[in-house]
Amino acid sequence: MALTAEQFSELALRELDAVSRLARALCRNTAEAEDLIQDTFLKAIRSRNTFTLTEVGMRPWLLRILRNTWINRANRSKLEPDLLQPDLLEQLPEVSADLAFEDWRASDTRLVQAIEGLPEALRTTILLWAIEDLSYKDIADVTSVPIGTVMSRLHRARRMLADRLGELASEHGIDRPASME
Amino acid sequence: MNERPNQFDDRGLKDAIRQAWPAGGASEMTRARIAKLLKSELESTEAALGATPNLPGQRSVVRWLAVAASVLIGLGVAGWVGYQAYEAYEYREYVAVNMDRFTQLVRLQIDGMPAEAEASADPAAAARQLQRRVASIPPEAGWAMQEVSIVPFFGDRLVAVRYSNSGSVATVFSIPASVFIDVHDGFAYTVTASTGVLTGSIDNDTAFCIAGSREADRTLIETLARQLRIEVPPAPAPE
Repeated sequence: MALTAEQFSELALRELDAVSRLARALCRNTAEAEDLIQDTFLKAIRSRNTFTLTEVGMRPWLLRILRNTWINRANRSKLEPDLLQPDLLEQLPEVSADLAFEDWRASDTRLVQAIEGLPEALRTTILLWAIEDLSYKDIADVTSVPIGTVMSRLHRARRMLADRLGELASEHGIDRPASME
Repeated sequence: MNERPNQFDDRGLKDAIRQAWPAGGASEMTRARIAKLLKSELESTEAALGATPNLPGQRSVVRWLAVAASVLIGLGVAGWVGYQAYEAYEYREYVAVNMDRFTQLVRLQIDGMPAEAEASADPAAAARQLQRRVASIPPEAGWAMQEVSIVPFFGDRLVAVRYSNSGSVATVFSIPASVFIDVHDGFAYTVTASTGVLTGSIDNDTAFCIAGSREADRTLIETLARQLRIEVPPAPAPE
């Protein structure tokens, strides 16, 4: 379906919040995130003829542009230390800790810290899944990996978060939740 | 550790992340900036598309196609003009070298058959033969056959069939084409000679022509020729 300039603009602006959230999750500071957002929309406008509107709207397409832009920048500047290659990511050691639903709720700040400490690919995958509520297929589309890799990354991110939350609790002198004992 | 990755569906974790993660979207300032950016970029993109009807490559192709078409049209027109000029020249040459023969035919129409002419022993048979050769014959247009003569003509013999129609007289000649000089099948002519007019063509190695006594008979003669299915040139060729 071909969109008019007005329709394209309206649909793109509708996804600005999602684009901003992911930009902030990827960037080190607000200025860098703002710059990334602007670049994302500029690239989207210039390649709008390649966009095909589907039932999921424009969100996966815009987020893919954003992430690719961010990766290209990181590759150029080498400023992003946790940008791991996919094969290296799969070699991360398994962790064994686990948390139940109640434990997750009790650890808001620590949870945010734990997510921010995840490698980019896992962090992006879990935020797209949890915050943006994208399907596995759309996450695969945004991150340019197969659906199986998306599921694997979600599984790995969950385990790393559980492990990291346990470490953070110890660092702050907080006992691990009872359900983990 | 029996959990399979493809069964990952931790609703508790999803809820917890949503609750913990800073919820804010884009600021109003960011929204205004991006809205302005979208508007200006889309407008300039649309304007650029409207102002550039063709890509450079397309313009080049169109230009070359136009040049090629112009050259072809020019060559075609030049060829046609050249061919027409050659046809006119060839026609004038044929008429000039055969004018004494054409004049003689008109004289036969005007003066009548010479003394050495033989009256056909069977005029009806001669007329039928002529009819077979020219495919059609009066009197469907009001013409009536008066006489058929066999006349010596430039070393050969011709058949002359004289017709009349309301006071007008015309003579249809059937002549071996070899009598004429440098002519070919399809050569059609209309000439004026000795106040009379002669029109006809060469077909199947035979010259068929019709002579009238006056130049004013031209239309009548040409009409009769067409009824006889003798080819008539559209107009006298330019000098």
